[in-house]
Amino acid sequence: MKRAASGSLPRRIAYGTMALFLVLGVLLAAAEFALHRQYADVSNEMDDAIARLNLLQDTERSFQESVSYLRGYAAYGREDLRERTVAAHEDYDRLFANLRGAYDEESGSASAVDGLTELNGNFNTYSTRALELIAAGNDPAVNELARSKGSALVGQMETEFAALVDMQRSRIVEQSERSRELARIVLIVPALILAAALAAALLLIRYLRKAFIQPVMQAEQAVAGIERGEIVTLDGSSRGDEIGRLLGGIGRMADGIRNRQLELENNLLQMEEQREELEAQNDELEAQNEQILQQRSQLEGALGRLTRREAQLEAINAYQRSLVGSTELNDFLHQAIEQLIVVTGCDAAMLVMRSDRLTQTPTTGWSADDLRESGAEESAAAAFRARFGEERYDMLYSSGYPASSAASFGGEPSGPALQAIRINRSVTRRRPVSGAEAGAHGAYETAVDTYYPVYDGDGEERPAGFLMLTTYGGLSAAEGEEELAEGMVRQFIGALFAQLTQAERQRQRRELEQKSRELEQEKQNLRNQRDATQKVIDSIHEALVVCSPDGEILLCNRITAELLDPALRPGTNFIGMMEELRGTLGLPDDAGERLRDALNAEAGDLRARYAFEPPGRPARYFEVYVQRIEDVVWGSVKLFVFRDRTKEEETNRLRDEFVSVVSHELRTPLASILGFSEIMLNRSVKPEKAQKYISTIHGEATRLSGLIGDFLDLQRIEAGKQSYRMLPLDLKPLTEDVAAQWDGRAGHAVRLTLPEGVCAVRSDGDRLKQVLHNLLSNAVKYSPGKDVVDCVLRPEDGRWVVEVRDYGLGIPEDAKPKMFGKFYRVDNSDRRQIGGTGLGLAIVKEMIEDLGGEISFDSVLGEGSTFRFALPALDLPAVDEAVLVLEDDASLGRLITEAFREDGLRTALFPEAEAALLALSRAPADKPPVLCVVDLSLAGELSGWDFIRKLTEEGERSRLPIVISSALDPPAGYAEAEQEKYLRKPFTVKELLELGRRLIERPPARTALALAVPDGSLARASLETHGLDIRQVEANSEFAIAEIGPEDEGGPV
Amino acid sequence: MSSGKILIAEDEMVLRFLISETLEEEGFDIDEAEDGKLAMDNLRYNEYDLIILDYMMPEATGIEVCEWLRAEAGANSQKPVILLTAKAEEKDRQRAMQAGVSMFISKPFSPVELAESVRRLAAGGQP
Repeated sequence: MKRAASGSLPRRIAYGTMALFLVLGVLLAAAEFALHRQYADVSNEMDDAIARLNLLQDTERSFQESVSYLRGYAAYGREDLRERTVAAHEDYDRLFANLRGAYDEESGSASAVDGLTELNGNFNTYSTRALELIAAGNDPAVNELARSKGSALVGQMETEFAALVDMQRSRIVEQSERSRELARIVLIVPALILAAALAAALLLIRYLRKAFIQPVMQAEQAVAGIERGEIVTLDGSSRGDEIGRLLGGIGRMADGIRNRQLELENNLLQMEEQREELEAQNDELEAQNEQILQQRSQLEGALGRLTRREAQLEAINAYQRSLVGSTELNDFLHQAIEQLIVVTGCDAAMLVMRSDRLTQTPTTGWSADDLRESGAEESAAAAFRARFGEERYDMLYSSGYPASSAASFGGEPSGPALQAIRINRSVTRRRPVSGAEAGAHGAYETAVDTYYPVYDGDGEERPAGFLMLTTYGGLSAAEGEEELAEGMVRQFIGALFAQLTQAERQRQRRELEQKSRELEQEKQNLRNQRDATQKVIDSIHEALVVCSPDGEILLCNRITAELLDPALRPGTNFIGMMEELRGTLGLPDDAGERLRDALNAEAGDLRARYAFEPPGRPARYFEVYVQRIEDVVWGSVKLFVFRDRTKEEETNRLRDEFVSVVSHELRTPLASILGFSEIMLNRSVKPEKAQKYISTIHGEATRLSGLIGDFLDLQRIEAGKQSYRMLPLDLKPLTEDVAAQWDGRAGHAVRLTLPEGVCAVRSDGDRLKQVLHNLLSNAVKYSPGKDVVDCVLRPEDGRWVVEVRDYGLGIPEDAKPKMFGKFYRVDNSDRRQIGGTGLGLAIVKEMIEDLGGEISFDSVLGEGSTFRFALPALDLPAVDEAVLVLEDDASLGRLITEAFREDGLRTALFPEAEAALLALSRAPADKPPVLCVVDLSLAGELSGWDFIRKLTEEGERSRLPIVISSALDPPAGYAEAEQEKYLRKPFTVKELLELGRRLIERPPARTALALAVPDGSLARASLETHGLDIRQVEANSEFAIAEIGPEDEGGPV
Repeated sequence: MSSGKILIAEDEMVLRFLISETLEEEGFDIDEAEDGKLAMDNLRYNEYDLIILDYMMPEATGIEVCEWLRAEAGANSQKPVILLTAKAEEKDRQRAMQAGVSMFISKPFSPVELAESVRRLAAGGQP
């Protein structure tokens, strides 16, 4: 592109346009400025004029006001009007000054107010003068003045003012005329300029159109033509500017394009040809490719099928293994059903079986057709129930179902299950998935249940349940898969029944084992029972023999051998054996016969008594029962019971003998008594004979009384009703006393050997006397012809032993063990004449043992016997120089003794007066107790009073101080004053101690009694009531001391 | 003027005394024996019109003495025998009859009746 000398085309156009508009702008601005100036001047002048007019009018008004007030003042003379006149005048002066200033500013018009100024000066003078005159009250002068000068002056001024106003108004009108002119000019000038600008623009557009737009449009058409592929010819040579060059360029370009297009078209033709060729090849290739693809998919399908098949086969294999691999039913169900699910490709499975499947045998004569015939489902269900009753079906196994729905099955099959059972074919049902299942099997909405009926193996007789397989997702099993599933299920059912049979067999085996164990247990129990029975039988003291009707021993117990003979054993013949043994056993001659009779007797029970009297041995006595027993094993058998009643017989014999003896013993004295009394009644008897008779009667009656006493004693002892009064006692005087009674009787002297001192025991004195009497009586009775019996009392190992020895008949050895037996008497001719009941020694033994003692004897036949009994010695505390405390309350006793012991004194506590007296009698005479503290009520027979009385009877010992620790009861009939009652209280331990100490320190001359009675007369009355001799009574406020004892005994100190 | 001679065998002295007192009053001569043996001795050497035996005696019972007496065939063998028994010995009455006891008298007995019976038997009368 060539460059123009005066710059580029756009720049030139820009500059031109700018210059044009600049000129126009300047023109417009100048015009506007001028106009504006003009307008401003006019406007200012008008403002001034208006202001001056206003000022003028104000001044005029002020002037008139001032004149008006002046006239008012002149007329009325009121001071306020004067002031107003002055104020108005001042205002007027001020305004006038302003007006003057305003006109002065305007140079040209200053002269316009000169006249007025002059007049004004006159007016001021006049006004001042008038005011003064008015003030002075010179009305005539005022009027004169006004007439002379005032009115004219005012008129002049008013005219002047009016003239000024008119002048001013005319000026304003003039100026507004000018401004209106200016406004018109202002409107015209822009219009002119606008027109000029419009014209300029039109010229510019013409130019531009001619110079640029046309060639550009030309070029555009050319380009469009090129686009359309037309052949365009442009010649730019006519113009040398840019446009020309552009056009030229476009023209050249169009040529180039044309050439290229031709070239391309050639190429295209070539390519078309090639393309067609290629397309042909491509078609061929595609066909081949499709073929390959088809083959491949076929191959893939085949491979897939093969793989599936293989997996399936593997699954089937595993499944079939699972069908036979388990022994336990539960394992089987678990493995087989899980595998079945895998094999059939379903998602869940459930096996429901009749509950009694395992136990109930199929109903014969019934076939599935029976169910098949029934029509509707309800009736089928009814028929089902009718057929099988209210049977229960239970789910045996479930897998893949949610627990809730799996647990819901129970009862009878219904719906599709029932249908499947009924038609004995699988039934498939499509159903929506339940809520719980949806949870377990996500996205699926439908489930397909297939129910397979399960029938008992043997000829489809009986529905056993059903198997349900469920597939989620609603996809039916593929073609052929169903058959496979059917087959698998059939296999499963077959295996299930095999398993059930096996399980049944196992169950039966277990049951058999259980039964066997039970049987074993039962056997053991029976054995134990048999052993127990045997033990019981063996422990029976009777011999039991069970015999068959022909006499064979079926059973006998252990005791049979002991009691009868060891030869009697089961298997031997009882009757035969008994006949053989007749001699050794000492049976009666007819024993065999009688036994045989008993064996053959039809009657059930027999009983008989036998005495077995074997030679050279003591006889034995038997009672024999024969009883018929009907036994399942043995049949009708006989039970022989041999009861050994030898002891019984012996007892009976003893009793009979006893009765005989008693009878004899009782009848003898009775006969004497009755006989002599009858003689005396029937005959006249001489006095000396009568005396003899009566004394005989008395003696025999006494004997009878003793006998009766013995019987009663024995009876009492045997019944355990013998009561004993256990008290401390001294055996020595007791023995002496009894011995003395037997001394010299029947020609026997009783030789006594006694120890020194007291032989204290705690026992029943009366019973001991009885014992001793018995022993001495026996000693005398059984030593006829002897003249002495020894009686010895001696200590031995803390016991006191009383021995009675005779030198008489003695006791034969065989009688010794029976000596203390009841009713026993040594049966010996020597003894026949000796009376006795055979009870004496039995009574003695019982009594001594009841009293805590022991009895024994030695005897040599022909030399004599020694009977002895031993009693535990009673330990008595020593009372030598001690405080003797008699107190039955153990704790109080301890308290009192403690108190005295703490005081340095020895003490001896006794709960009974008897013991205390024994202890006192044992104490040496030179060392008596220092004090006695006596409770009046005591444990033994003797009271405190008895103790005191006994003391006073003892002479030397009576000089004992005694404190009565308990309260005294007033004697009967004693008039006790009311205030005395409170005084009757026992001493406290402290008082006892003090009083006791006092009495010990100053021993009284006689037995002194300290009583807790602060009144002499009461004390005296009490003591006298209790039979004490009172010498003297001293009483103070707390106690009384009485001196007692026989007068001659008490000597003054 | 004796009514007859009688042996009393009785171990109880009181009863012997009672019987002898009773019968002496009746005019009988009395021999006494304390037991069976002594009774037999007396019977052996003396002749009695009547024998009174206590059943229960030492050495030999009344029955034994009676049996002996009847068997011995002495002067006394056919003499009446009275057996004194207590109630308990009643069961032996049969044996006593066999032994030849003429009469039983139970203790206690009435001396008057005894005297009566003795008188009758001693005179050869029936019991």
